[in-house]
Amino acid sequence: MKEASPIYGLMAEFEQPAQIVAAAVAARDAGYRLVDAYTPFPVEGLPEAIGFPRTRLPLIIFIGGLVGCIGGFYMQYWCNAVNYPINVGGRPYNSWPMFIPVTFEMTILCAATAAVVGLFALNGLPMPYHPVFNVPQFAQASRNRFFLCIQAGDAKFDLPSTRNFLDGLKPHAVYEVQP
Amino acid sequence: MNDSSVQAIGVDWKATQRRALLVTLFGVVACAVGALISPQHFLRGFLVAWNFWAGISLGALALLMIQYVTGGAWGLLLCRIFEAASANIALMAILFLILAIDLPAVYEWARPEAVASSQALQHKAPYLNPHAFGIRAAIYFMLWIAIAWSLKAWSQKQDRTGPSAVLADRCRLLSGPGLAIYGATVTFASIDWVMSLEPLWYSTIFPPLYAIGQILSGMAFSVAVILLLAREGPLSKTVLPSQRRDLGNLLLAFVMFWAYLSFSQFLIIWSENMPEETVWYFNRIRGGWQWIAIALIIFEFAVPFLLLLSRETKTSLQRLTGVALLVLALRVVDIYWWVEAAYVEPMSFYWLIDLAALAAIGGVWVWCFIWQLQRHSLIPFADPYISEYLPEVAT
Repeated sequence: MKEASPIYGLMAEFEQPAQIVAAAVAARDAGYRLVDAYTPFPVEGLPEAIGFPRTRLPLIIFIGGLVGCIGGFYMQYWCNAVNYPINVGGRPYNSWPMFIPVTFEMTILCAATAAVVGLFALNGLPMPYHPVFNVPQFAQASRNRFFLCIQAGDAKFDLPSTRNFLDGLKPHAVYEVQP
Repeated sequence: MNDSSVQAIGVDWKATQRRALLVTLFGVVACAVGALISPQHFLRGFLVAWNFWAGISLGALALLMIQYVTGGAWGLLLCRIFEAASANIALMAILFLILAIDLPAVYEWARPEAVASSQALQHKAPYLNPHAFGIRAAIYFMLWIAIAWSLKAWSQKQDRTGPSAVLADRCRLLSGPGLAIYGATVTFASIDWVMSLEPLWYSTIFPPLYAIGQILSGMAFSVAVILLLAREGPLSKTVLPSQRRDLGNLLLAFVMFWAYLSFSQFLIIWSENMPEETVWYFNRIRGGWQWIAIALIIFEFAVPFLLLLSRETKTSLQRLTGVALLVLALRVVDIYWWVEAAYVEPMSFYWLIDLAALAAIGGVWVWCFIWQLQRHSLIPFADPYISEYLPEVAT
């Protein structure tokens, strides 16, 4: 890696979702790897275009669901069949069909909680500071503009040539991002 | 044929149709042998097979109407398959007459001596009698055929005349009330054809369960067909991974809805624990039928559910085809369990007759389906929404 660049990276602003997908593909093809994209809504094909890595989130959610499923069933089994068995209309103590709705709800609850907690953990949230917010125009990323940022840490990053490259993608503007 | 029409390349329809007729031939011979051995088992097997194939047709009709009122790329992709499958309701109406050979062999309420000895059956006789049964079936079939043929004609007319806002509006305006008509008629049809096999048993969840079974069959069948056609030719560029994900998600939703209703019925009957209701499950969890019940839970719910959760399964052509075919096969098993266990006999090798009837009806059904499907473009390229949902077809 080259000597530390004084900036965080270069950011290009686009007006259309199709433009940013094309730009992300071009950046990957040009050899850039530390690329991130910021859009106001999920853009079809963009995660693949920036080479978004596979995450462990599905596994975390699945384990959460499994814990909820087994825990939810066991809770009822233990209450009704072990700790305080009551004969209800001659049904078995382990009246499992009656346990299914709660088991299902617990599965969903734990899976959803695992999804939210896992999402925060894997994304490193809460994150009070991030350099991209140093660009004033970046506020529009939550409204109607699409941003592609190439980080200075990228092996292929070189301020003039990367700026040239981004200019060649016909963006609305290109900004330097202060660290 | 219009330039924009989409045809399947590399599919030999004629050879497939010939094979379908061959299957029917084998099925009919096997059914004839079965009928000689046990006439009433032949008719029961026929009822299972008929309900399965009619279920695909009616499920396709319901999905066709849902697609018109909701829109979306999935609907345009499957529209022509739904149309061809629902056109077969007329065929199923003709085949329905086979039941008239010996209605009392299938339905207890059609046996005068059974009615004479049961006060409950006498009480139900104004509804459950052969004449009313036939008249109601005629009404259902007339309504279904009228809706299916109108929607098909209006959609296909646009292939020749070009996009027409009037015809597209007409499809949508018929589909809303059409769904209500489907819901009302299929409720009574499920009572007549399957629930009345045990005339003293009733469950208010059974009609929606029967309907969602049909819709699940229609969806699994249509997804399998479009994916088999999309392996090569122009459709391979139309059925994109993102659309396969939609198809997989819809299949997952219907699998879950089926499981939800199946379980709800069981839970309610378990909770109230009344002998006149528990008998339905009592007959279906012994004498070998319990294995079918377990197979249904595992292969019609657990396996497709877990597989369809994964994005890889939904976007993979082969895997999604496999899951759709698995669900379709389990629909046969589910209907077999509903119908055959009603006669309170242990499981026996008479299921071979069910299989023969399935082949006999299936061959003709597939022959007619292909005959309808290959006459028109596989994608309704003149649909007013085509440029919005399938831009790569509209070009």
